[in-house]
Amino acid sequence: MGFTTILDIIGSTIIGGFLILLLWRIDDASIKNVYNSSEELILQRNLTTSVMILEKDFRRIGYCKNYYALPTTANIVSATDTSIAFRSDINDNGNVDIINYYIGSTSELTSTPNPRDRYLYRVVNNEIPVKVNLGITQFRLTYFDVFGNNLTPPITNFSSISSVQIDVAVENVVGYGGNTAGEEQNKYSTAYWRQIRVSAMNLLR
Amino acid sequence: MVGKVSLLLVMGFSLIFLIFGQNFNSVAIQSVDNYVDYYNKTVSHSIALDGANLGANALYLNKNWTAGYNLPISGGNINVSIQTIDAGQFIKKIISVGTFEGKTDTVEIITSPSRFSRFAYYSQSEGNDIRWISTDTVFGPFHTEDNLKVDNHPVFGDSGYTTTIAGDIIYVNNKESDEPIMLGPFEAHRTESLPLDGLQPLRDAAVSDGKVFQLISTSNLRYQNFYLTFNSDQITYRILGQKKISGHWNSFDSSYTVAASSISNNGVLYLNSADKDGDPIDINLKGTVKGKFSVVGDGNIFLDDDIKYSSDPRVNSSSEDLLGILAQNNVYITDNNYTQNIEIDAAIYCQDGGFGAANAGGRGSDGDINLYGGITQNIRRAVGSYGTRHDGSIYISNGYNKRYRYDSRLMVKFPPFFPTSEGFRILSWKE
Repeated sequence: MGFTTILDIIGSTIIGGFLILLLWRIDDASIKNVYNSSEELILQRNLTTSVMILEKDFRRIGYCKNYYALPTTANIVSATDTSIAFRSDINDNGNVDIINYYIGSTSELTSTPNPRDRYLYRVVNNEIPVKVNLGITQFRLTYFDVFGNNLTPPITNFSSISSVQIDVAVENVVGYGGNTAGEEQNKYSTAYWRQIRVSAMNLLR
Repeated sequence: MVGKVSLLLVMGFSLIFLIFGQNFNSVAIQSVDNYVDYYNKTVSHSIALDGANLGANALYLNKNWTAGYNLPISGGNINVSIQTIDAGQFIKKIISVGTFEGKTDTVEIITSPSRFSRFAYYSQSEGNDIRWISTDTVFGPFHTEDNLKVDNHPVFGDSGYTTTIAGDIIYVNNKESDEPIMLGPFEAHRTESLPLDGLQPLRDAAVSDGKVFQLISTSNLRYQNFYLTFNSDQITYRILGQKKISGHWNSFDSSYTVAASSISNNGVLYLNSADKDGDPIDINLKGTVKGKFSVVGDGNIFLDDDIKYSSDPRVNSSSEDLLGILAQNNVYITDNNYTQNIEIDAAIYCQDGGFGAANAGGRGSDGDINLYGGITQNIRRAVGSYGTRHDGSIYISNGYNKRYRYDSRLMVKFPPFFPTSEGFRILSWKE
C-alpha cells in the first residue's frame, strides 16, 4: 500500500463522513418537511370537510320538505357568537328538526398536543351531541339583518337575522417541533376560512 | 474501486432525493387536489344557484314557462327544469342542476303565486292623517305602498314575518316618542302594487264553475238589498226589492237556503247586481263558515255580525275553513248592536276602497275588532277615533281598537281565486 493510497483512504473517509453528516441532516429536514406537508394536507382536508358540512346545514336553515310543517315563528331559535340553533329538515324527510352548533372549551380536548383545538358539536334535536375534532380553534358567527347591519349578540329578535358570516380557524392537532415557547406557537400550521354572508333563502320568505 | 464507490454514492443520493421528491410532490398534488375539489364543488353549487335564479326569473316573466334551460356557463353547465306540483294552486318546482369539472350540485325551489291573502295588512294608500298608534298591533306580514304614519310605538310583524313599506316612516311627533316596534324584518322602499282589476278572475271563476247571484234591476223589478248568511253546512241568501205589478211597486223579501257543499263548485260566490240606478248592490254578510269560500261583490260588503269559522284554526290546526271577503269598493263593519267586539275570520280584499267601520267617527266605542286573517285594501279606512289623556296615554273615543291576528295558514293557503300580485313567492328553497 503506497502513500497515495493511504491519502486516498483518509480523504475518502473524511469526504464520506461529511456526506453521512449531510445525509443525516437532510434526513431530519426531510422528515420534518414531509411531516409538515402531510399535516397541512390533513389540515386542509379537515377544513374543507368542516366547511362543507357547515355550508350544507346553514344553507338549509328554515328549509322543510313539507313547507306546511314549519312553524310561523323565526327559524333561528338561538344565536350567539359561538353557537347557533335553527330549524331545518336536515334529513329531508318532511319533519322539522332543530340543529344546534356550538364549540367546546379547550379544556375538553386534552388528548391532543395542540392546546388550542376544540370540539365542534353538532346536535340534531335531542340526540346525543356529535363532537368532532378537526383541529378547530375558532368558530365564530356574525349575524346581519336584511340591511346588512351587524347584529350584536345576545340577539333576542331572531327573525331579524337574514344572513350569517361563519369564521373557522383550523390548526394541526399535532405539530412537529420543540416545546419552547416560540416553537410551540409556530409548530402548528393554521388555516382560516370565512364564509361571507350565508344567506339562507328560506329566512327571506 | 474509488470510481465505483463514487458512482454508488451518486446513485444512492439520487435515489434518496427522488423518493423524497416523489413524497413532496405527492403531498403537494393531494393538497392542490383537495382545494380544487372544494373549488369545483363550490363552482358547481354557484352554477346551480345561477340556474335557479334564471328559472325563477323566467317563471316570473312567464307564468306558463315550461321550456327550462340547458346552458354552458362559467366553464360548466346548467340544466334547469320545472315541474307542476299542484296545478290547482299553481305551485311549481324549479330544479337546477349545476355541473362543473365532474362535480354536480342541485338547487330546488318550490314557488307559488304571490297572493294578497298572505298579508296580515296591505294598503295601497294609508289615507289622510290616519295613524298607527300605541294600541295597534299587527301580527303578521305587513305592506303599504304609502308612508307609514306612526304615533307612540305601534307594534308590527309577529316574529318571522316581514314588514315592508314603499314609502318612509313618518313620525307624528319624533322618532323617540313614536318609533314603531318591529318584531320581524323590516324593509322600506319596496313596492308591490294592487292589480288594476284583481276581482275579474273571481267573476270569471264564478261564471265558469261557481255561483253567481244575478240581481240586475229592470223597469219592472228593483233589487235593493242582499243578505248572505253562512250557517255552517247551509248558506242562506235573502233578497229584498220591489216588483211592479199592475203599475204599482210591491215590496218582496225572498229567502233561500242551500247546502254549503253544493252552492258553488269552486267556492266563489259572486253578486252581480244593479239597483234601479244601475249601481251595484251591497252585500250584508255574517255567520259561521264551513269550507272554503270567496264572497265577491261589485259594491260594498257590510259585516252585520260576527263572521267566524266553524272550526277555529287556532284550536284545530287541521281546520280547512277559509273565507275571502272581496269587495270592489269597501268592506265595512255595520253600525248596529251586534258588532261590538266583532270577530272576523277572513282574508279581506278591497279593490278600490278599504276596510273600515261604518260611521267611524260618530258611533259609540265598540271595543275591539278581533280580526283573524288579513286585510288588503286600496285605501285605509278609519275604524274609530281616539283621544289623548293628560298623561299621554291613548283611548278610543269612537269605534274600535284594532286586534288583528294573522291566520298563518294564509302563508301557504288562500281562499278560492284570491287575487295574485305579479310575482311568485318562495315556499321552500333547498340547496
